[in-house]
Amino acid sequence: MKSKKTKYSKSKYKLKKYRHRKKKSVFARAKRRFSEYFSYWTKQGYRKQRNWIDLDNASKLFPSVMNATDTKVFRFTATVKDDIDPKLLQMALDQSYKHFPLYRGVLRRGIFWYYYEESDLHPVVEKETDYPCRSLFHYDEKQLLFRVLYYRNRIHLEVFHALSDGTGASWFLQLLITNYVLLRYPESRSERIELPEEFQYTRYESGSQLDDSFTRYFNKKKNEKSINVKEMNPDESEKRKWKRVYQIYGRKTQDNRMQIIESEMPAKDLLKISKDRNITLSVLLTAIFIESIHKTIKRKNKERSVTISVPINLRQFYQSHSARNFFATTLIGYTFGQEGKTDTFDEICECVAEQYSTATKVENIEHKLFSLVKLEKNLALRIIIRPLKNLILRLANKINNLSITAALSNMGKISFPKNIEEYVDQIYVYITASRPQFACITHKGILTINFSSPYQDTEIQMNFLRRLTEMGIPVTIGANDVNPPNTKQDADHSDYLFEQQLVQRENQA
Amino acid sequence: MKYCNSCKIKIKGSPRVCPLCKEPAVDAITKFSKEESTKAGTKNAELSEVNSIEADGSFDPFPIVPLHYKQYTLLTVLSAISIFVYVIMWLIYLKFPESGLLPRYIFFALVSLWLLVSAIVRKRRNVAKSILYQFNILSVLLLLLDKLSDWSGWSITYAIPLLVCVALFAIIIAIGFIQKEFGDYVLYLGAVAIAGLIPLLFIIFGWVDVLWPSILSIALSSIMLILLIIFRYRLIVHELKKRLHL
Repeated sequence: MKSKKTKYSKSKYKLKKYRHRKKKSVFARAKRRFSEYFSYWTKQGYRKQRNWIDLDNASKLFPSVMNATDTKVFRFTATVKDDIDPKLLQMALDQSYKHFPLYRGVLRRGIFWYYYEESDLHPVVEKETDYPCRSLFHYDEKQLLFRVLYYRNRIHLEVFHALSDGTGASWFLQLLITNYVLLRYPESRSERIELPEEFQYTRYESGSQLDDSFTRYFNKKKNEKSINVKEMNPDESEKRKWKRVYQIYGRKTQDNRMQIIESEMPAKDLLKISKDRNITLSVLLTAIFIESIHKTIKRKNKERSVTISVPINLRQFYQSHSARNFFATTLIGYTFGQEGKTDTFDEICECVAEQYSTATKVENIEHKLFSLVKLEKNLALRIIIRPLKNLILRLANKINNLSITAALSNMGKISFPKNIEEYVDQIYVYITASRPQFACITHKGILTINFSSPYQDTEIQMNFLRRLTEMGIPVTIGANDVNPPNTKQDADHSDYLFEQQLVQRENQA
Repeated sequence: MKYCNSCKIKIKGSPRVCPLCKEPAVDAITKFSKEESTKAGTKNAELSEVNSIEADGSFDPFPIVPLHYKQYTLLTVLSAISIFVYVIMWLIYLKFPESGLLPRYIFFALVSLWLLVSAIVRKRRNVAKSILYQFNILSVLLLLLDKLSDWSGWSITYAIPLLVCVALFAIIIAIGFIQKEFGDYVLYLGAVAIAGLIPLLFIIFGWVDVLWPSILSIALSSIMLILLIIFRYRLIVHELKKRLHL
């Protein structure tokens, strides 16, 4: 049936083409081509002066340091009740796209810096057929910095980190999913939509969305007052001395795809455990992560630090509705094998909790950001041409990475308008990474912890999740296949090996 | 839905092994029936939960994507051919030194081929940029060739000025038919036009005896520049501001 249809359409196409050829003589066609050619030089449309904006402080790093493995793309996944209807998803995307002028931007290269340029491109939803978080930026192509994919009952929003951070992208996701559910389930429209408190419409206003909050708050000239405040408070968080920061290495996946392991669990249970210990959820997860990484270290006789890079959303400290990047990172860690310490889980928790409380103080973040923005505005750095700047940034990033073992980001809670909420199930989020990393987000009381890693090894993830199940938390996981059989023969062979393995096991038992 | 006995974790979809510990995963249902036959009373509650999850029908959360490697086959084949050709030529030269096939010419030819082709491939997305690169590479190569074969000045007398004219026409014709935004091309067109003024130096310093190619190139380039400045001044300023912002 299907082949017939394509055949028919093909022949129809050919016929049409043929007719068209017969009608117009060679001369007429040449005339048309030439009139088209000359219209290029006269039409106004081709002379459009595109609006452009500069990248913000955090974004400047991403296009320079991205590579084939670490594409700096992150993905939000929302699961809804039924399989996705692509046409309705496209309609929902069209509606949401209108409200986010930022997402119309394409990234381009200048002589000194990258910049965003406005485009007329139109996003198209696609079925997910490739591995997650493929690269979204090519230096010589104008392409949008996000994509929307669907698979079964899942909607994926993939965003290049230079465009937006998790919080900014989650607003787009909220709008996209809300629009989709309203289209897909007409019964959800009957009631008046009640927006939750954090769902203000102002966020979709174009002016506030494109705001470069880094320059607004951390440009020295404009904010001398806060600098004075800073100088009065001597730096409390003296740089901790890490001892030989552990670096995770492993077998890379064969074609540079990310190893994704998503896990979901009731948030309530975890919150109860963290309350019993009198710590926050972030502290608990960080401590478990540090502990599970430490379990994989082979030689434990010497002092070794395990450090975790944690992003802090700055919108909680500074009034900003910018959908662009507005975050800072801080380093939280624990040194194992110190004298007078037994490295129990309680000790790790205590140490981590203390670091969280100092790291999330406004003045400590402010200090770092002022210096970062100052560095960005440094004339000597600014006049270096971009290719050289890329090299410098890449090198600086490598050096900085030497003090980081792994990373995590807690996205907190995400919610949807009341009548939409019942159609939306779990939300997942993950980030490409040059080292094992996880991101977590809570929706409708389900916490999802999503690991991404460039390596095939899963020991850290296993330690982490086993630790959770030991605490009595029911965990469900899902993973992508990083070593799929390439041919049918391969598949059959691995089936055979697997059966053999099972038989052996039964014999042993 | 599967279940891993060692991790005590439910697994979505139907993987044969637990993605975490690589141990074989059991079907949530078989586990349930097996355990029921052994009848461990305390475990019943946990098992009924496992079973209930199975009922809602889970599937693999990710599509299975076959491995794809970057295809460098053509590149390796071409480099092998280049090396092969070079070695053969070298051998021919050793056998017949009087043939005039100097190995340095062969080397030069291969290197220039590689340079030109790689520039075309890398810059294929912007035709004006591609032509600018081709023009630059070719000019340098021709200068070198002139130098290699006992300097007689043909490169700066004829080759480079005429190359400028060709490049200018090529850009104007190509972008008119491609019909994309002029802003993407205007600066490259301008750059070629400015390069077309370089033969002025050749005339001033008296490096060339035959003047007409240089004059042709200067004339064409200056006409192009003047036209650009008169008709596209605002666009050029806009593009320059955008690309040169500090």
